Amino acid sequence: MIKYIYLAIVAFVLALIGVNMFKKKDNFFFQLDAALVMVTLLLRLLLIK
Amino acid sequence: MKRIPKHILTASALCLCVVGLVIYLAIGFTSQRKAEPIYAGPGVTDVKMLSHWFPALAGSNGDTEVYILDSGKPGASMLVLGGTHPNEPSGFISAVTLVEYCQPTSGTLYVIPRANNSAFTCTDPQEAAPTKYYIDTKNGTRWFRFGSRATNPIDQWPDSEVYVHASSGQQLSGSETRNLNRAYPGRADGTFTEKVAYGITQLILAQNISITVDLHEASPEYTTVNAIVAHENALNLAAMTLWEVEEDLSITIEASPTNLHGLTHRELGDYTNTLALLMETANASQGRLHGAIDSELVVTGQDKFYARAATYGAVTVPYTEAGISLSERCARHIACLVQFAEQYDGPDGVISLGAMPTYRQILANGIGYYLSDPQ
Repeated sequence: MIKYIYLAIVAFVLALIGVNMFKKKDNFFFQLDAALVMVTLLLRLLLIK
Repeated sequence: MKRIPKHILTASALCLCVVGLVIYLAIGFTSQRKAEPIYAGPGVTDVKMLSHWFPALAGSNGDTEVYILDSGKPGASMLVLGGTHPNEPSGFISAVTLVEYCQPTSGTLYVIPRANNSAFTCTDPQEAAPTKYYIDTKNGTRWFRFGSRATNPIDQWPDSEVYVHASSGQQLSGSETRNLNRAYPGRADGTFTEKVAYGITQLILAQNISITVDLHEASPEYTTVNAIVAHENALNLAAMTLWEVEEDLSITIEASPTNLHGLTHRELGDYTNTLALLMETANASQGRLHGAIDSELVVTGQDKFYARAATYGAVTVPYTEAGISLSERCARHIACLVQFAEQYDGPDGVISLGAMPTYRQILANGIGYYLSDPQ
């Protein structure tokens, strides 16, 4: 059960980051930071790492 | 025509990069889940899965092959555990050598090369360890995985702050929660790692295993290295073995501490009738003094930083620029395994591993000489 709670939290954070990345204007480095965080979260969400 | 805002374009481009990077990394990480081939040699009479003795493991990453080498002559039995810690390759390679080369002439040999199968599928965080190392055989090169000390967090998570050993109540660092060699005798309804330990304990009980040997490595600065750690019931066997091998190699015996729980040499001796032993060799790719870890360091054991540390007396074994090769480490394990079998004379008969290579032969030819060629 705890695994699914963890995955739900990861998916939620990932969605927030994704939405924010598309909303943020004129700040490429913010978007780049967000993209790098998304890589690790996606690997965790897919239970790869 | 309405133009797409610039920040939407950059975000979209970055999302594509994220997907590409995730695919690239996923291929790398998941490739470590592919097991290296182990070729059953002429002595192997049966291969079962550990779930045969503990069905709850079936279908999980904890299930692992148990190679059975039955001589056909009644006698004692011996279980060899390799890969309890897959970042200690001499234990694993020694076990693979038994599977591919050994032909027992009396009794039955059981070999589990990948005792913690899950720990082969990842590496230790922040160690920059290689995922594979390579050994030359007579006609080719074979690859083997360099894994982690602990179960993959994909299979067991999260770690507690404090690891409480179930049957003793002993408290250890939370980092030991996924360590198979802190989980014995295991629990049928415990964590993933405890279930694997339980499966191995059930095998020992069901097959009435006479001798169990857990093969390990440790860093050259560790005090328990080039050593046999023996449960009090197995001290005589360890002493007789040392007597036989000391012409070729220097090795010490340590009695298993009675207050250190969860380890094979303590719990398997306490909970079963087996004579429980554990062996340690010196592995330069462990510890804190080595340079970059790569396949060459794993196989040659040559590290200039350890060689320098040795001149300051900071390591506990003789260590020079020549290093301590994987062949030498496996030769130690195999020489002692042969003698554990030869020296055993219990009520259930005797066991002999047959014509295994000697310590000096392995040193001269390299361990790859006794492994099967890649197929």
